[in-house]
Amino acid sequence: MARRQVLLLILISTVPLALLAVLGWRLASDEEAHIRQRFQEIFRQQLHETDGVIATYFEDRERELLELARRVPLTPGSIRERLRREPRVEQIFVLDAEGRIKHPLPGSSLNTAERRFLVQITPVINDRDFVRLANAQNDAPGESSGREGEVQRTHDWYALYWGRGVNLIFWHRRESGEIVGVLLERARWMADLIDILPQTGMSGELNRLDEKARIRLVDSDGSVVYQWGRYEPPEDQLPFVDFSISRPLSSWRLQYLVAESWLATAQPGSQYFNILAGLVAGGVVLLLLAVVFYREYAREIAEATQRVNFVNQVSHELKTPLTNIRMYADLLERDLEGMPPEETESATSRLGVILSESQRLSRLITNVLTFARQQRSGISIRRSAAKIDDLITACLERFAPPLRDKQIVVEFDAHAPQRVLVDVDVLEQILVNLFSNVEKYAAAGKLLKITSSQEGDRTTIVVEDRGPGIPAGQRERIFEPFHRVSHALEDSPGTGIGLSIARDLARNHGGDVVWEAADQGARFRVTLHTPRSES
Amino acid sequence: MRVLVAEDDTLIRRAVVEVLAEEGYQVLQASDGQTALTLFHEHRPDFVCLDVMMPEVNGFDVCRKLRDADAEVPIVFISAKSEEVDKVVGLELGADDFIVKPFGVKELVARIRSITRRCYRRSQSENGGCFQMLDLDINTSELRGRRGDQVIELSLRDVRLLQLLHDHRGEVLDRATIFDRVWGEDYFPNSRTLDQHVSRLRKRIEIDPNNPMLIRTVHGVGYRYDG
Repeated sequence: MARRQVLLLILISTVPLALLAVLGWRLASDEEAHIRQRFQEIFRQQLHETDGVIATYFEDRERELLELARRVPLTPGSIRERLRREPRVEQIFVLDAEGRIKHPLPGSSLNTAERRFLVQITPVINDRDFVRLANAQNDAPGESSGREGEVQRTHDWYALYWGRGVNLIFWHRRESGEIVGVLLERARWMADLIDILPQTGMSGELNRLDEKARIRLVDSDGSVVYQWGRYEPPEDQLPFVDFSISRPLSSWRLQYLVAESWLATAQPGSQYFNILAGLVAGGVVLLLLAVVFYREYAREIAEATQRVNFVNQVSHELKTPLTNIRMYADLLERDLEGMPPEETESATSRLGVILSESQRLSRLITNVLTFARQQRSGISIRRSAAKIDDLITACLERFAPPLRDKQIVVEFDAHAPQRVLVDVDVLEQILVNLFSNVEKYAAAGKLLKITSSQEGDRTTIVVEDRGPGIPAGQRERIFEPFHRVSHALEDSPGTGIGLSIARDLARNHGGDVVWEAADQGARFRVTLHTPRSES
Repeated sequence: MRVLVAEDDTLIRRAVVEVLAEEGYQVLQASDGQTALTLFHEHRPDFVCLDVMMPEVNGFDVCRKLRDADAEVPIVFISAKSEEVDKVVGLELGADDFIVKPFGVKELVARIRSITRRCYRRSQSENGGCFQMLDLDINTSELRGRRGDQVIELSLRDVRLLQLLHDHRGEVLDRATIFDRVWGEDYFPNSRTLDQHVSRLRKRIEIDPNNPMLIRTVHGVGYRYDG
């Protein structure tokens, strides 16, 4: 198999595969990103739902505590009495309309818990939010807050950090301007939250991910408050989805951690595998196609070669009988030369036909073989010393009988007398093809004119006739193999390879054959590289 | 001058032998490679024409063996396949020339004369073999005659005949003598052979073939050159 064909075969099968691979890879990457995004959305939605559960819990508390803050009589006794009945409430404080503490009142008789509470809520009382709330009450009672554009609230949550972390205070501003703050029992609401959040091994939608996922509730310090799901993430694993939960625990987060191995096997990996499998299948199909095409091509080449070989073989086989015809016709001609002309006139004329036709057949075979050889392995040039004018003369002598028969006058303007290095057979074949064209197609012009010249290492031979010439538009195409000039009628003899061979031979000889403009008929200029002979 | 022709096609061989004999060579013929080798060793010809495709031993092998026996003898291939001959002639076997089928008598004669000139150049001194007949200069080693700018190609037999006439200037040479000296002892020509040969030669070398000055006819006897 030729190297070029192998390369072509590889290219045919690999280029589309490479393109497919690149496209597939990009597609898979995009798909992977897309799938991760989809999973993130799904998990975020799940965390959102969980957040909804937490939010609902605090909304319930908010309703209860608002009721409490509205109704509770603001005396220390009533407050203490109420605290005893409310297990979720740890302490209650009261500020007057000016933001001053009314309960637990410093200096009054307070129990230990109230004194500690007083210390703990001092930052709250000093917090400007509360100050603002108090001021808002003074500026525009019941209407708006102190800050422009902010909806005035009469109750809300307040997060206060002490002890083990966040403490939640629910506050309510009564119409009288007094503010009632309720501190939720931290241990209780955390227990409540844990109670309402899912457990590991839970049923429901998240269950299928239970093995490979873990959801964490993380406080503002980043400490895990509660978690569920069987997956044990490595310590440094970042959450796949990180979700801030709503008020009042807005500094807390819900984090969704998923085993990367599960993410990899769940979607993108299989995607890559599919692409790889597709590529392999495509490659196999392409390779099979390429092999089929190659075999078809090789078969055609083999058939063509067989045909050429057959033509070659036949042409070679024709050579021996043709040699005999020519030799014996020549010998017969010699025999006739010695006899009285009046006795041999008719025989000589008929013998002339045999000789010229056998020469025509020889030229045809030589052309066919030269063409086949050139297609196969190119033409090698064998130079020997000779005089171009002598070679032209010899060639004209051999061509004299058919030219004479068609009454074509030969004019030879000889100016190439130097002894040069030339492939005698190549020059003869070029000339024979050009002369033969004149004889076949331009006999009506009755003239074959040859002009030779030499300059330096180049020999030029111009061959012209007075025939119908070459139509414009065909002046280059006539040098293509098997091209026939249209005006050369169907029944004109010839194979259409003569000029193509002449040009190829000349080019191999460092020259060319070109058509030239002439007033009448066709004119061809042959140039050859012919170094001077030293001998 | 002896030539060995080895060619398996009987018709071609017969024609080549006839042409060579006509040119004045003594021809040995073989229809296969083995016979060619035997004849070569027995007769030591001056040059050899070999067909490539022959039974028993092919032309290339014969050439190789001939080269072993004689590095100098000119060898000419006759073949239908120009390519393969082209390849071996220059590169491998050291053959001197080749004749590609199909060829006619003129091509064959031209090649043979070219080889003969080479043989002469090998065996004779450079100026040896030149003589003059009136205004015609004859160079035996070149197988050419010259009259002014005109060059006339001659066969070995032509040269021998002219040489004989020149050497016996003014003498009448009878047919038997001419046959004996020019054609050889073992040649039995018919009566017209010599006349036809002289007639053809006159057409080429005489200025007026109808009024010959170089080869004059002596009716009933033979020919004469007067000088």
